[in-house]
Amino acid sequence: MQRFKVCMLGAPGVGKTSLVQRFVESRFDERYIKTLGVKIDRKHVATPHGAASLIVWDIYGDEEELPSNRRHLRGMAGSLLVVDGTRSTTATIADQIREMNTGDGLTGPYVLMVNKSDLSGGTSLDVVAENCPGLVENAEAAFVTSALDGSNVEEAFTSLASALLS
Amino acid sequence: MEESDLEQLRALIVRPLQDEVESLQSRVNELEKSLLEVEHRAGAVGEVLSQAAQHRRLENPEPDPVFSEAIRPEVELAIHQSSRTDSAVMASALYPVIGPVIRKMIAGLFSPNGETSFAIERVLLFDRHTGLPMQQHVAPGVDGEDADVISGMLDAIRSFVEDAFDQTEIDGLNDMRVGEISVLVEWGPLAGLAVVTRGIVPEDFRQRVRVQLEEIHRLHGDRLENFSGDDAELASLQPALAELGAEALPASPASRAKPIAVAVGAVLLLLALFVLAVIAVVRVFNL
Repeated sequence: MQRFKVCMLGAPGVGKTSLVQRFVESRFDERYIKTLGVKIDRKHVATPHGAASLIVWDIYGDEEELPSNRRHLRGMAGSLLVVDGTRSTTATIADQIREMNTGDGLTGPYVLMVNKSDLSGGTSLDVVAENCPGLVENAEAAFVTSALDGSNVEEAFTSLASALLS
Repeated sequence: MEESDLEQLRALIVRPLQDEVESLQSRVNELEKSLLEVEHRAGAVGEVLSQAAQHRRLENPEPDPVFSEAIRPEVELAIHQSSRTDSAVMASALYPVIGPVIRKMIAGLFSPNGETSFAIERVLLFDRHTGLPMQQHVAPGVDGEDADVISGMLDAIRSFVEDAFDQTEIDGLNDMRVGEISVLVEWGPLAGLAVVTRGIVPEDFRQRVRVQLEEIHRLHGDRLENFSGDDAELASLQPALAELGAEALPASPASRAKPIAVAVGAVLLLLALFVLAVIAVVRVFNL
C-alpha cells in the first residue's frame, strides 16, 4: 500500500480537527493533539490513479507556535491548507504558511479547503482568490467545505491523494 | 522380760520406721507446697515442654485432631492479637516467605509451561524522515493495522523532544513502558526500529535490536534512503524482522493476565500463607 504523510495546516479555529474527524474514524483520544502538538490518523482512499493510505497529521498551535510546530512537517508529501470562510484573515495566514513551506522546500501539492460553508456570511473562493491569489493559483484543487455537514470533505482528501499518486 | 528390755526392743524395731515416716511426711509437705505454687508448676512444665512435644511427636507421628482443635482458638487469638498489636512482627516473620512466593507466582503467570516470560508482539521498521511504516512483523493474534499511526506517533514524540529541549536531530523515545507492555526504539540514520514486548525484557535484547537495525542499514541502505512510502518496496526485509520477532515465543492468552488477576492471586496467596502459619503453630503445640 502506498502511504503518504499529509498535514492539516491553517490558522487556529478554522476547523482542521473537525475536518479530520469528518474524514476518518479516529480511535485515538483528541487529548493527544494538545499534549504532543499533533494527532495522527489514517485513511485509505481510492482514486482514479489507484489506492493510497493518507497518514493525516493534525497539528495544533497558534501563529506564534507555528515555527516550532513546523518540525512536524518534516517528510510530508502534501498538505491541506484550511481557511475559515467567515474570517478573511485566515486566508492571509494560510498564504503565509504556503510561502513558509515553499521556503523550507516543502513543495508537495496542497489542496485548499475554504471551510464552514454551512455558516452564513461565508467567503467564496473568488474572494479568497482576490485577496490571496497565490494561495488559490498554486493549489492542486480548491473546495468550499463544511465539517458540519460533510460537504466536499471526502472530495478534498481524495483530490490530494490523487495528486500524490499521479 | 523387763520393761526396759521391751523399750529397747521397741526402739530397735519401730524407730527406723518412725524416722522414715517423718521423712516421707516432710517430703510430701514439700511436694504439696510446690504443687500449690503456680510459678513453681510453670517452671517445672517449661523445663520439659519441648522434650514433651518431641516425645509426643515420636510416640505419635500422626496429628492429634482433638488436641489441635483444643488449642486452635488460642492460637488464632494469639496470631490475631499479634497482628493487631504490632503488625511489623507478623510482616517480618512472613517477609522471607512471601516475597519469593509472590515472585514465583507472577513469574508463573508469564511462563506457561516453563516457556520464556518475554514475548514480542510487534517489530516495526519505520522511516525516520516521514514517520511512515516501512515494514512490520506482528505475532499471531496481534492487530497490525495501527502501524501507520504508531510509527507516526514515535516520530512525533521525537519532534516533541527536540522542541522541548531545543535540540536538533537527536534520538527521541528509546524506552516506554506501560504496565507489562514495553516499547524499545532504536534509531538509525535512515530508519527506526521499534519492538513492542510483553513481560520482562532480557538485558541483552536492546543490543540485539541495535545490531539488527545496523545490519538492515548495512545491507539495504540504498532502499531505505529511496523509500517512497510503499511498503512493498521493502518486503524482502520481512525475514529480518521475523527473525527478531522469534527471539521469544508469543505469550499465550494465559500469560496476558490482567493486573486484576495478579492482584487477586496475591490476596489469595496471603490468605493461604496465613492459614499455613496457623497450621504450623498448631503443629508445634501438638503434644
